[in-house]
Amino acid sequence: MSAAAELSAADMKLDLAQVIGRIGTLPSLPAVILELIQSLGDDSVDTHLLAKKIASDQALVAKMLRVANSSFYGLQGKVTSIQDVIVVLGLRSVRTLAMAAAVTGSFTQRHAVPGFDFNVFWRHSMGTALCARALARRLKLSEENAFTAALLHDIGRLALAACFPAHLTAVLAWRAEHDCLSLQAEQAVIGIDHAMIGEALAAHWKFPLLIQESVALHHSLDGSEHSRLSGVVHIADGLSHALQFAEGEGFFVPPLCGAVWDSLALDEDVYQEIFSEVETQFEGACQMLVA
Amino acid sequence: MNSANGERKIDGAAPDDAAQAVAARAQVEQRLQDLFRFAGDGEAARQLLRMVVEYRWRQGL
Repeated sequence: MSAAAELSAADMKLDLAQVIGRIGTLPSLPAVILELIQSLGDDSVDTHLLAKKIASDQALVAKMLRVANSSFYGLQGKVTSIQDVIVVLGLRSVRTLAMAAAVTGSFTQRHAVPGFDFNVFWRHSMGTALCARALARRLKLSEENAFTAALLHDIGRLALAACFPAHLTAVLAWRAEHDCLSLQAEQAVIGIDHAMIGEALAAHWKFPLLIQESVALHHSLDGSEHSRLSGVVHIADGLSHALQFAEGEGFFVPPLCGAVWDSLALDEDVYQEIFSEVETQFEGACQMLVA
Repeated sequence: MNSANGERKIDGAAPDDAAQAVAARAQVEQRLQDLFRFAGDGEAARQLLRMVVEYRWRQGL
C-alpha cells in the first residue's frame, strides 16, 4: 500500500502550524545567500566583501562559474573567479545567479515524489522569471526583484514535496481524477495551498517582505491590497503557462485577475515582443538550473 | 471581401489558401483553448489567449 493510501482523508488535512513546524526542519540557506537576498534592490553593497563571502562557499563558486561561462551569457571560458563574475555580469546578475543556484540546490532528487517532476517545475519557474523580468523592464520596476520573486513564486510546491511527500502524492492523484488545477486539488485534499506553504517557507528563509507577498498572493490578488511586484508575478505566471515552458500534468493557465491585467496597461505589440524575447532567452537561462 | 460565387476570402489570397489559413488558425486556437480551460471567462484570459494564438500563428505553429 502506498504511503498516501495509508493516510485517511482526515490525516491529509494540514494546518499552517504543522507546515511551519516541518519547514523549520529544512536546512537553512547558506548565510551568504540570505544576505544576498536581503540586499535585493540595494546597489550600495560592497562588491569586494561580497566576492569574499561567496568565495567561502566552494560549491556555490563552482556552480556560479559554470553558469557564468555558459552560453546564456556568451562568455564561454572567460570567467575564472567570482570577482570576474561580479565585474562582467554586474552585482544584480550575481545576486540572482547566486540565489537561483542556492535555492535550486536546496531541493534535490532526494525529495522526489512520483508524478512530481523537478525539471518541469523549474522550467515553469524560469519561464515565469523571464516573463516577470521582461514585464518589469517595460513597467520601469526592479527587474532583479521581479526575476527573483517570480523564480520563487511556486516554492510552496517544493516544500510540499520535501516535507509532505505523501500529501503531495494524494494531491496529484486527486488532481488527475478530478481534472482541475493543482491549486484546487491542494485546497480539496490538504486544506491549504502551495501559495500559503510558500509564504511560510519564504518567511522561514527571511526573504524580503515584497517577495514573501508575491509568493503568498500569486493566485489571489482579487480584492487584496498588493504591490505592483505581486501583480507582475501573477501575470508572468499566466504568460509562462500560456507559452508552455513546462508541459505536464496539471499545467494550465490559472485564472487571471482582470484588474491587475488592466493595471499593467500594456499594448498587444508589447506582449508579442515579450513572448518572442522570453522564448529566445529561455533555453539558455535554464542552464542556470542544471549547471 | 466576397468572391464572385459569394465565398468569403482573404484579400490577395486564393480562396483555397484562405480557407487553409483559416483552418490552420482554428487548429492553433483549439489546441490553446485546452490550455486555457481553467483560466475563467474574464476579459484578461480572452485577450491573452487571442495574443498567444496570434503569436503561434505568426510562428507557423
